[in-house]
Amino acid sequence: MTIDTRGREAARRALEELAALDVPDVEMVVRSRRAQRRQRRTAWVFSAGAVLLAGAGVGALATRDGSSPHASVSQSTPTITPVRSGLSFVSFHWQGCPFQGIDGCTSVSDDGTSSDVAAASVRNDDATKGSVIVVTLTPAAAQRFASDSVYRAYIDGVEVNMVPGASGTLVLSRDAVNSWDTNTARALAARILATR
Amino acid sequence: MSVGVGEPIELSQSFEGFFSGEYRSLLGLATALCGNRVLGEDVVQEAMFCASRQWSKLSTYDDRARWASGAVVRRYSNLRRGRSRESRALHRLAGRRDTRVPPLARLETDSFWDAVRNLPRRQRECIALHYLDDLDVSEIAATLEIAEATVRVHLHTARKALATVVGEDEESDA
Repeated sequence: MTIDTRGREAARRALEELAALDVPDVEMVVRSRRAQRRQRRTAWVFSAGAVLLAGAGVGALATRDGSSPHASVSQSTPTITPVRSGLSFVSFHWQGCPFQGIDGCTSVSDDGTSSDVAAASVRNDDATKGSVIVVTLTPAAAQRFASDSVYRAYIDGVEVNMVPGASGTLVLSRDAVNSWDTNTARALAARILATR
Repeated sequence: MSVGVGEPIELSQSFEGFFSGEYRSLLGLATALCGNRVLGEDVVQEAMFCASRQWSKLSTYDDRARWASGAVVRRYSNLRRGRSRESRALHRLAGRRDTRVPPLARLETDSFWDAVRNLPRRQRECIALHYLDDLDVSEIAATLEIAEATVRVHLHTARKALATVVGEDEESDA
């Protein structure tokens, strides 16, 4: 027997079996599918709404926490960041979050300055093709900021980008996608160390 | 949640005829591809729902059955590609419903269709359309929207692989 004959025979037997099946009611099928789609759409809209609300909440908290020690923010006046010598930064993390969502979470924030820095060095960054500053925190500061993940940082009042690096370190760059040239990075690292 | 249940549904008589006429053969195709009647039913009903929404356009087509076969293949591909939570849930549901929904033994347990399901996706689709829907090379190509030469290659390779697995001669007349 060829594979073709075998295939046709298998198909014939299957179609015989299918011929004995009852076809479901078309109206029932269409109605249930329509209901399913609506449920899916509703769930999607709710999920998107929840994500947007969560994002807005995080944004609002970040703004509030980031500005409280440094600036007074009101709707009628522009944000003013008071100039502080050297490095200053604010960080926060969530605490007491339930399994899913951010309802019930508490935002815990902390301030840091140049005095929390044990060492600062400059290294090349391949991604941004420039230089970034790697700040090593003092052991006490490293412990304080161990679980923090979001930072707002300033050098002499100018906002810079700060992200957690390897254990006990923070990496500073000009912004999220740009770094500095080597000379500027070195000068800023020296400034941080000089203002401890 | 009972959204939509009880709302009036207007379906043309021609769609109802199309549904009852094509349902079984599409279920055969879907079950051969999925290997499970419950998943097959889901695929066919979703394809039929799409057809109901586009019926004003579809009703003008000469070969609506081929469109439906293509819709089943596409829906199956999406289900397989997506590996979504929904498909996993359906798998779980299928496992639970096996006791209440009688399996299509010829399609779910036959060694030939088992071997077909182990073929790569395109080969599996070509073989299922060729034997179950009795489509020739040009019709398969039109359904899957691929070149006829590609279909020939898929069918040849698939037959060769099937012959090895089910232990038959690979010679064929198609």
